[in-house]
Amino acid sequence: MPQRKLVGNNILAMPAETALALKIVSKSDLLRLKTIARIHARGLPADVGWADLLQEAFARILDGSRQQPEGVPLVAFLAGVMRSLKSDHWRRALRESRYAQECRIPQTPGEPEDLELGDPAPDPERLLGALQELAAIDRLFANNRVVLQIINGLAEGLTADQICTAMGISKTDYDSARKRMRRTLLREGLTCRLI
Amino acid sequence: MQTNMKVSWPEASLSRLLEAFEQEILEASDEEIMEAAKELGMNPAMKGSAAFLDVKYAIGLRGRDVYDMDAWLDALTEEERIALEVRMRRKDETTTSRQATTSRQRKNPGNK
Repeated sequence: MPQRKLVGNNILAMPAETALALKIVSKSDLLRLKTIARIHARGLPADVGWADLLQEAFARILDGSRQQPEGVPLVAFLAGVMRSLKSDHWRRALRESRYAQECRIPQTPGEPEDLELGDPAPDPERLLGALQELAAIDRLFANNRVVLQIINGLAEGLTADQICTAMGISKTDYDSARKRMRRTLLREGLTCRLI
Repeated sequence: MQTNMKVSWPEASLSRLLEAFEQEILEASDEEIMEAAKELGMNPAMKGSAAFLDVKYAIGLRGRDVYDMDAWLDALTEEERIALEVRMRRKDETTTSRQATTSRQRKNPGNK
């Protein structure tokens, strides 16, 4: 995780703190992004944490390696950077785990180098992780049947209208359940667990 | 519609769900965020609020984890380095002397 560093006589702040100091983001934005980072951490390899994702995303925009496109709000852009970083972390984790499993074929004259056969089956670690996270999300909303139904619809890729039709609920009830869901997500995202 | 989640394509389901959650938080108002923080007993307006742990500052790190000590030592002038060494030596001597006194007092509680 990018940390404070003391270089020469200057203390370099954490990237998110720098962005706040430069007034690129507000305190509410930081908390919004913290919650989003914690949401995406549910789909991260085990060796990467939500704070790594958050600080790395800020570091990328501060050093200019990711540039905000015109018309895209910064918070939404940072959320997109975090999503992209998550994919990068998975690609790296997959590469590392497959390296140990790959079957190297002895090279014969005239053939390209590094001929490898990867296992085409889904990555078991990622599959298990996804199942565990889905179960955890189920538990998080276990006391709210309507919210669970909405979540199930969202997981299937249904739109709000399709979910309302399939469940037979009014738009008002749907909005009210979404509001409860948002509140739970915010509480979960802002909670700090001291290990 | 069933209430427990389908697990036919768990990775795809999780990915869709996380993106929907992300959208939900992007649409949350500042008031909703502050309200959620208050419900958790946090005051984001306060300096050092727990809401910003690992966002603005890290949890439970020692100075050595937070600061690059080698870079810091390299940046010291010769006078500063000598002064630091003298201070550290004095601190060590004081600590050793205190430990010896405490140890003696424990052995002989009557001799104060």
